[in-house]
Amino acid sequence: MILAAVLAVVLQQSTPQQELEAKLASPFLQRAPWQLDLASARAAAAEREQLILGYFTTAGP
Amino acid sequence: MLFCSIDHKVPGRPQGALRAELGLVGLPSMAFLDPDGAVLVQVPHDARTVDGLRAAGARATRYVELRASAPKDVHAAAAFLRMQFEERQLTLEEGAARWANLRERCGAQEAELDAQLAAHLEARLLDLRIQARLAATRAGQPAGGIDMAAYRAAGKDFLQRLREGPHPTPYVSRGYWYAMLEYAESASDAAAFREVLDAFTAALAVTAPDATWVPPLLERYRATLRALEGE
Repeated sequence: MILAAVLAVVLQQSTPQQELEAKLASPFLQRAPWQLDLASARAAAAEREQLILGYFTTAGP
Repeated sequence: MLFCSIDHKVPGRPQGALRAELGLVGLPSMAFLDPDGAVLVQVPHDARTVDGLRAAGARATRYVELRASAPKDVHAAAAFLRMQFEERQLTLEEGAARWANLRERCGAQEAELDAQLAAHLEARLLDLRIQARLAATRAGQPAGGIDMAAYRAAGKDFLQRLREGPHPTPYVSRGYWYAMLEYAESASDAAAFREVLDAFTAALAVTAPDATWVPPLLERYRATLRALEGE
């Protein structure tokens, strides 16, 4: 309960930039070679004749 | 190729709303895209397993094959149209135009579509017509509002359709069932309410067999039915 309240305050105080940086540091992004730019993903998919598996999430709460 | 898009509100940084731009609603969303960036197939929320991803990937590959064959093969065109309906990629106007064009091509080539597939495409188009009728009951209303008279009138018409056909697919908007139940309740018609609830229950067994929200929803409607029958 207290932890949730603290977390809520911290999230309220985070800037969009901080929220994005925190998301970009998520462990799941380190475990696989994710492309984070659509143009790069499209170019690589075209070159390799592959489809793109897209995962769409958010930096915000 | 793995691609991760993160919604954000960082000023000046691109792709902060890519998910919405691609028409993806859920959070998180998963979808297969082609190298042009077009969404092919979405991965349903209840299929985010290794097997589910494999199945969605195979479906995306099939999508690309059908899309390539559709211009020269009416059977591929019909299968592709079905897939686009299933992926909710077409508006009513687009779907109606595509289906009319396909039937025209079949006539010109004296080709006959599989009857079951043709009936399914008709039913998918009906799904979109029902969705449009439901959307019309919300037009001009405050956010979240609904024109109850128009809604009940739609429910009455849907009930007639339920009895006489043609029928939509089980994947039709659940608003189809809600409108009929609302109409039957407002008319204190317990028999009609039971009839609709039975058909709705059967549809949910197909479309949401393991959903935890289904039993409480159905129980609430059964309670309403008991009250109607007790009147």
